[in-house]
Amino acid sequence: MRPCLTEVLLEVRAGSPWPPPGRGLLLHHLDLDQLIRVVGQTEDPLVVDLDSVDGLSPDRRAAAFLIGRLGIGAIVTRHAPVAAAVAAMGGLALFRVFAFDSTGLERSMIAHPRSPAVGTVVSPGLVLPYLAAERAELPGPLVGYGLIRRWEEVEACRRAGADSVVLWLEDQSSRVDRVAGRR
Amino acid sequence: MLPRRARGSFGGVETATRLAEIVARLREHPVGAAIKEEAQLEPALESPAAVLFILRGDGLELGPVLRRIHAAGKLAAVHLDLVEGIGRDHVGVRWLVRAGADAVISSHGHLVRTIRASGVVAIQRLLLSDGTSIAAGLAAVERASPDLVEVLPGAILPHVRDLLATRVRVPLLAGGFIRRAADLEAALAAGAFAVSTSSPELWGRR
Repeated sequence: MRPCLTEVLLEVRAGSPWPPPGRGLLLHHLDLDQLIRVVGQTEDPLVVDLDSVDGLSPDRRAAAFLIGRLGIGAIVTRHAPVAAAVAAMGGLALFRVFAFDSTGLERSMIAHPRSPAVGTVVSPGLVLPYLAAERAELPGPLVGYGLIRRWEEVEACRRAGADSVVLWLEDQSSRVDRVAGRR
Repeated sequence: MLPRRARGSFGGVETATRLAEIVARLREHPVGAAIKEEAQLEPALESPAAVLFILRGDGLELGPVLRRIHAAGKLAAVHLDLVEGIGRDHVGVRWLVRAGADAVISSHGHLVRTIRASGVVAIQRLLLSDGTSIAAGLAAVERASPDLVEVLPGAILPHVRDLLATRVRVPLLAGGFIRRAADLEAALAAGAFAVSTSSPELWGRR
């Protein structure tokens, strides 16, 4: 299984810039064929947002495919049974919760498996510095994912307790579509 | 039995009047009181907040609560998606309007037209979670053309205002994790004309 969680993960989706090598990547909103090609193109640590991959169902079988066939070490999902299955397979499960307001976060956290092998992804990650009251209730490892574009925002999330922060790159010339399209 | 609407008739003219009223009240008192539990109602009624945002409760029994809010000289915005017992559909909207809501909040763009046609202010929630959702959310707002947009989490508005500036052409509310005076001031400085918060210590601020 590949290494997965790094302090900074670069966000990679169809249409997004292809990031510089040497950092961890969070792959999302790709289709299954693109995902397979991208995984084959890089040695970088990888995390996959399973729920957003076209062609995969967010279920145990898909998780087993990502872990067993593609060697993915960490999977993001908002489906608690899938998170539990990933953990049971020896992967790092990252349960995604949405923090739009305190009520929404509370509701989202109700479904968290809260087992030692299941961490938490908070979306939008930008809100992490505003969650001091909730931080202790978020099982680690803790990942901030969504709308983080600046290094000072990365640093603020790290100071707020994030183990990993997903950086959204907006302005690079080469694009994932180009890489994913190679055969 | 459907509750009776206490005042007014339904339609576009009334929506425009209510929108002007709610905007004027929020400009005067730019901190709306978000009510998540019954115990917050009394302090909110006694606070200077001019608009109360009802985020929880029994949607089928809101009439008495809304009458108390009006009796206190305040306006009420009810969250269709969060109150219990009410369908997230046209009939649910009409129920809340007849119960006395001055504005109805929803994330569902397809209900915006129904809300406006019912004579109340339509507030569409724009949920910001990541780059993909923000594009979809902005497109949904453009299609629905609500009277007001509430950006959540409002605390991050200062970081993302450049992503919204040219796309949202109606007044912006900010809600979610605005807990300190500094968060409030930052959201207002970033372009929100008002905020909603469940932190009572902010309800009196201008």
